[in-house]
Amino acid sequence: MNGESVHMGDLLSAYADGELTEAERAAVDAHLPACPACRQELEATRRVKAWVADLPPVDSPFGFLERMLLDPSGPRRGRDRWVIRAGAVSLAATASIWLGVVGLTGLTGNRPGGLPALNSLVSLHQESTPAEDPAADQADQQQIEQEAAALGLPPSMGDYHLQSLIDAGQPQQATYTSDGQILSAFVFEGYDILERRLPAGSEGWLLNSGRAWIVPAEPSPIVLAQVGANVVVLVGPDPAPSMADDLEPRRPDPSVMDRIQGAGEGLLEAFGLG
Amino acid sequence: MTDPSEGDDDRVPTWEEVARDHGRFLYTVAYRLTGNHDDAQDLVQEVLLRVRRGLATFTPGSLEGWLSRITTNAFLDDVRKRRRRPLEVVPDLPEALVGVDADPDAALAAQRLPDDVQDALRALPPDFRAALVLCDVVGLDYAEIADTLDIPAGTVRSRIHRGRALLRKELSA
Repeated sequence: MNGESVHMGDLLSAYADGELTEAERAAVDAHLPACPACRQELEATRRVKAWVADLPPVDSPFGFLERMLLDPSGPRRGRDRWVIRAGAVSLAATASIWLGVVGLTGLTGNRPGGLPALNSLVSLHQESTPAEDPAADQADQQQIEQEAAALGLPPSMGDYHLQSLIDAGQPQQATYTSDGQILSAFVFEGYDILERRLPAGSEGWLLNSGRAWIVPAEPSPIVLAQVGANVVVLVGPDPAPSMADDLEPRRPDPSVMDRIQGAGEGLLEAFGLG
Repeated sequence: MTDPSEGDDDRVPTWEEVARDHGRFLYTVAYRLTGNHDDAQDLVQEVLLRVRRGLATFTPGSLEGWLSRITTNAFLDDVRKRRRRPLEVVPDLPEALVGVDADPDAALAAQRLPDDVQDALRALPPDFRAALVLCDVVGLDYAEIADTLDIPAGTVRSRIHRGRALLRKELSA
């Protein structure tokens, strides 16, 4: 410890961490006043320690821990297998997830007042006029149901039955109708809901291997559900728009993503797209 | 992050409690060690499997300390397997750690973005990174780190100091 070329070296981190013996600490205390280089290094050491110690907690991707709880011995290496696994979860659990979502929206019972709405999605939803003849052609209906199933959507939610599928890129929109009421499901494929980015006050529900949240929004809340690798936003039910002149479902504006972005409410952020 | 001794009781936790109540802690440690979500998920999965097998032998005490030990060892096991070579690689460091910065006050005064700090952590040799994460993220003391990593206390001291010096060099550039 004597001589100008001897610096405190490793002792300085231990000093900053309070890990020195009495004797070592005394030696450092004696050395520091006379050694600007060690004082500088001690200060730098404390800074670096703070940078690491101040790193925030990290959330796992949505659904990861739930998958672990379900089956921790599942495939673990490589994205591909995870994708396959997510698909498997989606197929196996879709029915039970939707039972839970239906429970959340209250669709099985009386229509709850003012269920979910979110600005632009709401307007898209409100523009969606179901085809005039709901029975349509049975073959068409089967095809719609198959395409909906591929998105993780059930043929019915409570009393609401799949009416039409509007394929306009992302998000795809399906409408469900019951007794003059219409419910829209917007499907964002390949997204994970990032729970920590949901707006404050969101209420989460664990639905078997899936999850759903009621997200506060004006004028009324919306429901977000993670169904496998897809995110589904439920808007409505509301009174179905009048048939007016349209016999075909109206296609949403191609700039739907812009409109959703304009809607704010943290929705894009919730999807990790912000 | 949290006091490792916090919230412990004398009861052996269930597997679900570990995954549910300590999942975020576990994931954070795994992410800080691996530096990316893919590897962090692999690591957490490995840890949870080890936890499930090892719960019977869990001794009531610091649950998060115990989880940190399993996580760090699983991480280093995996690094060794992947590299198939010894880990004791001493990185290039200036002989004297002092005087690295031309203007240290200016270089160090600024806050660092978490992503930059994480990138710098990831650039550290895994053994150094493990020691730093256990010290500054988990909050273990040197004796606990020595026990966790099964290395002498002097080695802990040196890895932490050299790790910080490398981080400083990386983040001052």
